Amino acid sequence: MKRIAFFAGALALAGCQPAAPPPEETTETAPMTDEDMIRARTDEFEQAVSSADSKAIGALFIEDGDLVDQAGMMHHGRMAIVERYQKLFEGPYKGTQANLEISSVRFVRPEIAVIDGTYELTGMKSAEGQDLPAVKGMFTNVSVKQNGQWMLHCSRPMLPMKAPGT
Amino acid sequence: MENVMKALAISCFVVLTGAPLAAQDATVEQAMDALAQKYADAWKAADAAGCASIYSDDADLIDFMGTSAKGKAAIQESITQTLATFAGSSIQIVRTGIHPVSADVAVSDGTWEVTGAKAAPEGSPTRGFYTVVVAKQGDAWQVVSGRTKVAPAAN
Repeated sequence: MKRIAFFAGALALAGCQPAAPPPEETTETAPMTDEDMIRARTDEFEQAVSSADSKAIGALFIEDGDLVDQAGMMHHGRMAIVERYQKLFEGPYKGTQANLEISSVRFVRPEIAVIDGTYELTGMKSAEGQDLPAVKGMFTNVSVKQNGQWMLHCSRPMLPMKAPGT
Repeated sequence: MENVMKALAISCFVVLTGAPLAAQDATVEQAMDALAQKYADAWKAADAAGCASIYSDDADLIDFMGTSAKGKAAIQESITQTLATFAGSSIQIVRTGIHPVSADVAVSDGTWEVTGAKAAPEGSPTRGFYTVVVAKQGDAWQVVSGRTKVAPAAN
């Protein structure tokens, strides 16, 4: 060790720099962009629907968030949204799996984004237990960044007259 | 007395337009109603450019068919086609809710109904819902995102 120190000192005195140590392999990943975070939240939504976790869905919304469902019904406030999904999970959404795909994220302000995408629900059954065809729809969400977290402010799913991808 | 009259005028506006409002919200709601009226007037006149004028240059519109139009020019083209389908018609726009996101951005929902079309194809939807995201650009409110949909029963 003394020898190494001696050589390093000698190189420094001679105006040279010791060879730089090889760069350490790093496992650090680039910080998430706002769009990355929004996409991650959408994945959480997908997971929450697929696991029938209405409370997890509610947690994605701001307290005062709202949802206008496919039939045009307004569900205002986190609790109302949780209750709405709980009823769905006990009824037509029982056992359903969700797939959400974002088609665009548009920042109308640095901390306000409009997110568009499509969703597909599979595995739904009728009240008689018969398999129902997949439901394909679209969604528009408005999200806000609060305390570093992107939260749903408004969610507007819709069933267009022409199903996405058809 | 002048102040009393102003207060009465504001109260009347609140009664006419729905829910009680915070001062800031009143401005948003007034702006929303003005945009809706402008759109309806332009629709009646078959003025696609007038309808599109409520949108920002970079706005987008997704209609009840799921068709997307990006930018004011594309939106105007979409409206031109819609007006041709519903020639001679009027549109009634009723705001049912407004949800401020920030001081200069809000989400508004409501219903629309088209009446008096001369020769719309059978089965064309004539009523439904809308959601718009409006943002203040300078002193003016404009629609930055528009979404129309029909109830599933009408599908």
